[in-house]
Amino acid sequence: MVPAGAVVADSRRASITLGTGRLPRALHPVAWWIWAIGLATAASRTTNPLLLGLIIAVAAFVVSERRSDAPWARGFRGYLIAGLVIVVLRVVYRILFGGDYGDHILVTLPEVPLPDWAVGVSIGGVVTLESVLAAAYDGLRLATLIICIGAANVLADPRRLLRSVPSALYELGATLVVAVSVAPQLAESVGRVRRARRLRGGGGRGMRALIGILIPVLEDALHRSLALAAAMDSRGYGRSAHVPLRTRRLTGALVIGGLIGICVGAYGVLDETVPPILGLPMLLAGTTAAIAGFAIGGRRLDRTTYRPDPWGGTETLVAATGIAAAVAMFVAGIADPASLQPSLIPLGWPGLAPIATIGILVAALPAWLAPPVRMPADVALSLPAASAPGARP
Amino acid sequence: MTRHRRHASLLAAVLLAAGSWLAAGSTPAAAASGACPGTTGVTVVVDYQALGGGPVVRCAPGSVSSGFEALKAAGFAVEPQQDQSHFLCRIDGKPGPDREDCLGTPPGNAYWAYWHAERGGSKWIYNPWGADHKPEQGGVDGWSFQSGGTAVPPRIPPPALPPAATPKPTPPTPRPTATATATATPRPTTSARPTASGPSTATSTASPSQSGPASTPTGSPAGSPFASAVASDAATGPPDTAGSSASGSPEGAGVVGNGSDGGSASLTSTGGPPIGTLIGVALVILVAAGALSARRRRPADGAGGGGGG
Repeated sequence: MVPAGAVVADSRRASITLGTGRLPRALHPVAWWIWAIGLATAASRTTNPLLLGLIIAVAAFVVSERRSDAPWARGFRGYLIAGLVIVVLRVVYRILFGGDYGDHILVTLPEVPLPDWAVGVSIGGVVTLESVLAAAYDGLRLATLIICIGAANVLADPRRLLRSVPSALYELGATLVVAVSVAPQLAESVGRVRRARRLRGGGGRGMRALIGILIPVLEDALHRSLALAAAMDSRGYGRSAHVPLRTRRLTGALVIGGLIGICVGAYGVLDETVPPILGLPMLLAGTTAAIAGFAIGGRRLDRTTYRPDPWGGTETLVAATGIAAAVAMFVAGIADPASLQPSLIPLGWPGLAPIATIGILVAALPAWLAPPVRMPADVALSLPAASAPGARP
Repeated sequence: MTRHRRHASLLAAVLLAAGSWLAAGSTPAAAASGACPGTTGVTVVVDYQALGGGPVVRCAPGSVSSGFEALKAAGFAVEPQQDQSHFLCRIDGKPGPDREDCLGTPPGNAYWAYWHAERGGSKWIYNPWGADHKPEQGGVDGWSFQSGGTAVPPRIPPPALPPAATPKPTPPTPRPTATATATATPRPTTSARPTASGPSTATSTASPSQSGPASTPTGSPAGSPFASAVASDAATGPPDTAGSSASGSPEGAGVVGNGSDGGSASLTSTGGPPIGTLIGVALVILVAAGALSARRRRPADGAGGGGGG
């Protein structure tokens, strides 16, 4: 009875867990996000389709190995489809508006004549292989970024992630939790209003039907939010009366000043014609001010977390693999920049950059390093044999 | 000891070539040597500035429809920027991939600036338009690589028209000897083929051997300057300039799509993708297959949302 079922489930899961005796648990969500952002950073430094395809394959591999069955963990295929749509849109746009890059002409579309002052812009005209490839490479880079972020969304529970928000951003985190919880309620409210309309005989389409659905839904949302605000206020959310005004002003000034410094520093790093003081030094100064503001602001709140997620060695390893992929791509960009951008004029095959490839393959290790996820079969096995209906073979 | 002596002799040859090239380049008459001999065609001047190599003067014969076409007709290898293919990114492979990846628009302190001038004019005029603009026939197009804030024109004045601006310059025989030690574009064949404006386009380095019969009358007096010009071009320019000029010289006509020659060679002449690309494709397919098989190995998702973390 149970032992036979247990053997079947164990052999199914044997290839997934590393050895025996690793208890399934959920990895800290920030570890998954650091891993995904490391992969995304690596993807943003190259347009080599081999490397980008490898990043996508690695992300899909880790997701299929370590994805749980929760409702929020579905939908990775949607990210893949979104990536495909991005590539197709880029190629179509390039074919229509800028296809004359290079010399290998594929097809010649009829050209729409434009006035003289629009020199440099062309609609239709020659379509070359190099321009299609350039658009495909660039679109693939954006698609890879989106797929990496999608992998993080599927692997890390968003609610547990919001619990890890620093204390200074506590109000922001509470707002996001409410929004994430309320969004499904909005869909349910729309369904309820439509059913009521059909029962009363009011159907139809068009603007009148839309207004007939929109107003009750908005009213419902307003009522719900007022009730939620009253409940949260009665429980003490949002109270900061015991913090002196000076501390609050200092925290606000540090955080806002730090964020402005980060914006200016990011622009200075990217644009090379500004004085160097506005580049990296400003970025570091802004980051320091923002972190100082967070630290000071966090001290005022005595907030405890119920059953916080532990950060162990496994989390550090998983995050380190993502960072290793990004570092390997940076090193490859310094050592051999031509391999990260396959040349289109003259047209050449994309080469294999060894350092970058090894870094990306290292980022596939979390498929085995991360602890296995809790499968529904585990829940059935943990119950006594008499009460488990599916235990009998 | 012999190795040192070889190094010393090579160094001496390079210094002699560089010296002769510099001496020749300082005279304005020598700078006009690569220019169009008549009032047709567009004279193209490319100054690499800090990228290495001095000003190069060539002629784009016939009518050209844009600054890009003028550069290609003059025998330069042109690479536009990838996304907006009407921004010029590289001329003859400079700046290289380590300095500029040509994916985005080149920055404001490292780009090719477009100038124009009249033949023999006194100064260069900065163009407010891009390389798609149609240059005037008989004018001069200038390209100068910027490395800083203020706009720097090409370092030579706009080449003047030759004194006898008729289509048959048979009198100017004394000119070739005086300007035989020209800048990187010696024209050994102007006195031999006065009517063709083609040979003045891309006649550096390997061309004397290829435009064979026409070059013999002037081959002997300009023997050593050829060697010096060859050495100077090898010393200053990358192999790309030699390759581009060699492919452009035989016909003498406008050379278009030099990049495609090299590109198609690398894409199709080897018969298929290199081994690195095949390994990369195999790796991607392997990991993707692993992802698909892991997905199939999971128990059915119909058990509901239990577990949820």
